[in-house]
Amino acid sequence: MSSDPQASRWSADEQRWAGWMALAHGGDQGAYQRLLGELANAIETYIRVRFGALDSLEDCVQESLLAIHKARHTYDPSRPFRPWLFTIVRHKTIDVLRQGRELGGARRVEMLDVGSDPQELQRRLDGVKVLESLAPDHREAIALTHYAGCTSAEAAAWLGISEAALKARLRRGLLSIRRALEAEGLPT
Amino acid sequence: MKPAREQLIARLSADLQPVVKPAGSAAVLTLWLFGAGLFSLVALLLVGPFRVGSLQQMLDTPRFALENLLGLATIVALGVTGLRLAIPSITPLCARVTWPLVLLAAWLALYAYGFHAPSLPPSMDGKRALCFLEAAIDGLPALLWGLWLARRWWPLHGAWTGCLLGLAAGAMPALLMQLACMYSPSHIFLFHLLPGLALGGVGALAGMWLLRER
Repeated sequence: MSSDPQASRWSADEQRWAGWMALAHGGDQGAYQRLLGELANAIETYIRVRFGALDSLEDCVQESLLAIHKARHTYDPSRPFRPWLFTIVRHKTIDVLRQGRELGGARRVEMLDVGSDPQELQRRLDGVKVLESLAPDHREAIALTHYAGCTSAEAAAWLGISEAALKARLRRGLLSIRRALEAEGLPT
Repeated sequence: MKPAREQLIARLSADLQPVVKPAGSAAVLTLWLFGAGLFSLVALLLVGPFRVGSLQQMLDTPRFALENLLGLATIVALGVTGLRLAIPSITPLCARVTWPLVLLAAWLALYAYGFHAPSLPPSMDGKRALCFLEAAIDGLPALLWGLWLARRWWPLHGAWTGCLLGLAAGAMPALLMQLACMYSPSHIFLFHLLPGLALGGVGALAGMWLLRER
């Protein structure tokens, strides 16, 4: 028996989630609802640990749940659940970031205030795992657009580069993040 | 839990339909491989007969048999990996596509060695008039079928999925041509393998378009 409490918890999660998904394959709505409820929290934790206070955190969680729903027929109950789950979450998170949805209304005003306060922005970026491995240019571009709430045009003006150059930096930065997440393997 | 998230979960749960058969089962993969191979075989036979004595040559010449067995293994590896790429997996892409591509390289290398020492004496026996067209076209239905299957699953690497399926589908008629058409290393490369494997490029383009990320 494993003495590591975290490993025991993962193992218990794995068994419970796989069991609920197997029931959901049979059409059990209650099991499926419980599964999605637990997965939503697990996905939020996964993204928070890696991306910190990301603007689009809730979008990433909901898009991942939607993707899990659409892809549920690709889960093979005889295989582990967590690798399947986190592959989908990883892809959807990068996908949401790549689409770079702009924020609206009060949330955008709040984000712009953060963007004009470098210390607050720095606080938000402290300990964000995925940014640590990026080149400085890529990190700046991603920090301004995904953590300070700037549009591409605002971020490009802030950095003194063209919008096309900013988008290229964003693209390369997201590619680096994708590679870093892939290299991580199964999340710990 | 946030109300929007709660509503989404309730909506998705209410939308739940039972899954009759999980995607990517061994039965589906086998069906695709057999179906695609059978189609190529029938299409070739409809155009003309196989080279007389080609099966006996396989029994008599171990290297010729090895060429064909390695080709068969390559097709299975390419096809299975191509279809499995449409199932989410934590294994990095490069690790998934390496082994079928290594097999493909080994198969091609065996034919390349044939330029130096052919496994059968080069001969015009059994030459088919339009073998290059047959090699290029006969794999198309299998490619389309594979793309259709992959599209119903959850492909994360559309171009690679299409490329491997195209290579597998194109390699089927190319392999069967070894028994159906004349044997000569340069003819095999130019008229059988090149048009057949060109489907890999077609598949990659089709995959980029048809299997865009969800």
